[in-house]
Amino acid sequence: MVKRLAAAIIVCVALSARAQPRPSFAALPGAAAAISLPASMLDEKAIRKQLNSGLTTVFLMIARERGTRNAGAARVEIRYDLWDEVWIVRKIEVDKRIEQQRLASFDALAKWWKNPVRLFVSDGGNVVLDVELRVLPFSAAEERDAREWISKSGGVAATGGGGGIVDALIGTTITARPITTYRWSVELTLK
Amino acid sequence: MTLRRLLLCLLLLASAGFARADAPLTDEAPARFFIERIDVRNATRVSRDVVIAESRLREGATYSEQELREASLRVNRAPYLISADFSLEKGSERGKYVLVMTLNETRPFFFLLDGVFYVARDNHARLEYPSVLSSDNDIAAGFRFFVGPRGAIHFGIEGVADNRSYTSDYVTFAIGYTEYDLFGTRAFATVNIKKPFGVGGPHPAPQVVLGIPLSPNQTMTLDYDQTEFGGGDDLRSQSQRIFTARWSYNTTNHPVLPTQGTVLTVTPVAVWNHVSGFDVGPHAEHIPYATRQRSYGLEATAQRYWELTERDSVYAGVGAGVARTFEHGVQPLYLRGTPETVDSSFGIFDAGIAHSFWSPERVAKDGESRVQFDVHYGRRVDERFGEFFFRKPESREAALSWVRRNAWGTLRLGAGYSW
Repeated sequence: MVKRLAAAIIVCVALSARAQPRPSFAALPGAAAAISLPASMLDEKAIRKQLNSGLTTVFLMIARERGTRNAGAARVEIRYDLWDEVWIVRKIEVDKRIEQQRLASFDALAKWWKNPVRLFVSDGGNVVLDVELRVLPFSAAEERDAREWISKSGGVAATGGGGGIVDALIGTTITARPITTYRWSVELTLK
Repeated sequence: MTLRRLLLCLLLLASAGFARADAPLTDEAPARFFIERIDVRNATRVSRDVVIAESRLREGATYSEQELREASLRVNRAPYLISADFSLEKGSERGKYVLVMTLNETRPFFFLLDGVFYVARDNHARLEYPSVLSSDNDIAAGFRFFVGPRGAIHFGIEGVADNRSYTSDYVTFAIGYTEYDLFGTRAFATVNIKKPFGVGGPHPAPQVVLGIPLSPNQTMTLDYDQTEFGGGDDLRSQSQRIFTARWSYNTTNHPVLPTQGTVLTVTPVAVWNHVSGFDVGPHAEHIPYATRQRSYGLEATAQRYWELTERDSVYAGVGAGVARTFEHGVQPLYLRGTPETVDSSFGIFDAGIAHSFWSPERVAKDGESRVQFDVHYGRRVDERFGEFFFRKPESREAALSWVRRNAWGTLRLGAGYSW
């Protein structure tokens, strides 16, 4: 009886738990950690709906090193241009390197999407990272004034060690409610 | 030479063609959208024009994503909607867009009940200190239905409470009409007729509210509120007139349960009270009194909401007000000998944390179900009444509650401790 009950609970939990798409992580030269997101994430119902809205979808990635105050962040913005029928993508990595492209098809977007995104840099060694990805509606690009104002106050800049953490954290406080959020943990050896 | 120019032109055209697809961009300017038309979908009870007026957007104008985001937040704060999705579609010609607002409406019946049971540490009755968050409405229920393209009629009951020592709190029946987008200005006007419960008095009294948008996030709200208490066979009657001019800055994402954004308000207040009646002397004789009070005050509040995850949020809010009251006439016995010019003030602090049981997708579809923990501190000072009127000048409270919002209204149930 107990076994049956336990089995039923396991089945119920398994059915109710949302299958989280699992990205792959890699250690890159320069003691950097990169994330490669699965293409299946773009097909998730809520994300696909926002991607098809003609407005920008923001993917905000924050990596925190467990047991320390070190953190890094990266951001990807995607907007479908209805008239040019291209996907306009913008990626800002942890070292603030910006990449912008126009992609002709959803297949091209899915291919580009899987490229590694540098989101954490350290002095090297073993790190355990807690990574959070928030999917936000609308562009955060025009919130520069607020970001600068808060950054100058010193309140947020002091909380993280990564170069893009200010942009990332302010983005989360100012932009609209996340469409969805993912969390993963990973252990990497950075050199 | 001509052939070389032709080849060069072809090469440039070809490279431009390739540049449109799968090409790196050097500096992508923020997108702007010419909104040719605004299409409001799933609007069965709500007027399309009212929703567009609430967005403060106009057809035939160009907007950035930031401006569309602010409009989305504004529409999502409308109390007659559970949520609204914004998306773009192609317009009639290249570069023109149709902005689609897809609504999830509330029912015509609405209610708001803030029902938290408090246990007090001492024998004093718990003070009803309105928080920064629900400054003047802990209970409301009624019907709202839209008439014509820009009008809405409502009727129901509402509680009116504030932190002022020089005004009276009450529960009233109200019936009113709101006209949105006055003269195409995105302003609105509401006229209410109110009749308080349980305080006697045969006279319904008017309330007139005029909301003037100053920017997508800023509004000036002028409110004239007259209330008649007592009269008839009552020992005491009071005619209260309150005029407020509230400037507000609001970037929150929800009318009742925001999880992110900022609200700032500054409110000059003017109050006129005419109180008359009679005391009963030791030999059952009537001792009449009649006083006129004029009060002038200034109040300000600031609230900030932070979203920690898509389900968790925290907030903090502060508020303060000062006022001076001038009194003339013959006072009732219990006030005789007290000063005729009285200063009063209040200060409040609120903070809390909330956890939603639902995902953002379900919140947008069904409303909200969340648990929250709130702490509150309030202090009121009045030179004349002091502890006699307020029982005690300070209030400290902590409460754990469950909040449910659906298409019918918002309910908050919980328990708290007051000390």
